[in-house]
Amino acid sequence: MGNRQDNVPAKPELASSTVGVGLRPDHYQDVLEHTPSVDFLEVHSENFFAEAGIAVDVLKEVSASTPISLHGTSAGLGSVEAIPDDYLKRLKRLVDRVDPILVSDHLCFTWARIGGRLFHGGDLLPIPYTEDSLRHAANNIDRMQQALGRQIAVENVCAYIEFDHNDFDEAAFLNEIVARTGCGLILDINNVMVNARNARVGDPADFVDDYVASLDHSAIAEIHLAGSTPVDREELLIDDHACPVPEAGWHAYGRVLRKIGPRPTLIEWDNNLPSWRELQGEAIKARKAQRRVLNRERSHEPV
Amino acid sequence: MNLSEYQSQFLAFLFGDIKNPGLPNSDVYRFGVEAKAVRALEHSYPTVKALLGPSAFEELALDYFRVIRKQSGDWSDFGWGFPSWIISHRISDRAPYLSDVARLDNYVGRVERSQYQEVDFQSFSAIGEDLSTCRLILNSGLEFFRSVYPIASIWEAHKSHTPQDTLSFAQAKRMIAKGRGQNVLVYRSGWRGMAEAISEKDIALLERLRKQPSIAEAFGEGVLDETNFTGWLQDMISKRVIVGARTIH
Repeated sequence: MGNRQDNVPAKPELASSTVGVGLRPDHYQDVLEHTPSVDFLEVHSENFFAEAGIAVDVLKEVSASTPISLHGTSAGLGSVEAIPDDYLKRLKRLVDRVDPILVSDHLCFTWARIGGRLFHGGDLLPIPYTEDSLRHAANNIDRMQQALGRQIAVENVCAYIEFDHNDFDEAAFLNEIVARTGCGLILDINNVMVNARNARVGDPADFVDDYVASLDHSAIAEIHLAGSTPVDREELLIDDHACPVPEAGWHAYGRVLRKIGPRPTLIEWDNNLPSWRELQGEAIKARKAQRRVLNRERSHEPV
Repeated sequence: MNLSEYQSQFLAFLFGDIKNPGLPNSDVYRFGVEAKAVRALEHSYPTVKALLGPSAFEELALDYFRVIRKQSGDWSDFGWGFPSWIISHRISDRAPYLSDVARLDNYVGRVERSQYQEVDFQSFSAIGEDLSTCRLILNSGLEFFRSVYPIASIWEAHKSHTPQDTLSFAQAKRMIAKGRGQNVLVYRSGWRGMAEAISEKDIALLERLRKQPSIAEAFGEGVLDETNFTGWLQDMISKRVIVGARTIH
């Protein structure tokens, strides 16, 4: 069972007012030619599990000058099945190579047995927020932290299906995970907004604010911002990271910063990629939003 | 339904075993995973896709996904069994070379992700007068194989957006008509995997070198005097196929 808070050292953190973007293969040439003007780069861990090759070499070169945040998409921390040893071994090898500022994955399941054989679902699959889910998620987070010898952060996901029974709301579930494992959190603002919209809540902005207010702020290690796309005559909003952060996302981000203070912030853009310049432009917007909040805080400090 | 059953059933739904897991919007996940599976195979098997076209390739990829399913967390691992699986698929009746083409795509990707060794030029000083006491070192990252189809030409032709306009396409067509195949060497140039047809003599030599014999055993005692051999060795070194020499103790 979890609660190993004393055994999972966190890495030295980035300053809270830092901004990063995701590094995807389309932009390898850009980052090799010019040092990125962002504070850190995020990569999807599994894309660098290979022994060698272009991705591994690029990451090695880039990580020498720019801090890297390793973001997994496949561990399936909420799976009833334990994360396979082979997965943890490959992740550990990557962590040792890159020495990232943060290692993270999602609160979802991916692994399950069918007819006794272990399979991987290939997506961020939702879990109900029950005591049973909590136990398995805490075990897997614990297992990963022990395997890596360091703290990880866990991100809230979009869930397009609803469960009949939950013992917790999502924020309370995440807080309980933090309490049991000593892990950190990634607050994905877009995911909260998408869930609010898809659940047809009356006021999505209020929903986001209440959600953030309920979270353990001290555990939030990174904020994620992204765009999403409506499908099926706008019946559902899909978190596809295929467009800019919407205005509502920037407004929510501003409110979150005012509530919890600046945090390292990642602009996620995975599909329909823009130019490297445009992507960095999104990072600049986030940096400006952080400065606005910091300036406001300073102007209210007693002299 | 307990948590374990829910997770198993949901995966069974994603793989097409169950029509409806009883949860609204589940299709969002099924469509998403299927799209990722197709994308992963497109990335790993570009020549197969170019040969079949997007629609037939998608159908084939989804057949594979539903039968084999996903067993690893890394999408780039997905599809390693695709070449041998294709043999039993009905598509091989009309394109019997498809499995070998997939195998070549797979090897190119594998070589690109391998620990491809650098040439240790100094080590060639180990080649002395007694060729029975030293051997050549083959790059452990490279691949080579024989095919009864002209797959190197098919592979080369389909790197073009208009394969029919290439000489390689014409050559492949001619060779298929005559029932002739090719031996293929897959190596790396920079980060890129390359494939080229090699002679029966060359592939036999590479096979022999893989067994780590002495130079004398592999090529004969007087080989260093042969211009053909030195030219061949230089070519193999320039492609990092042979990466050094070592004394046999």
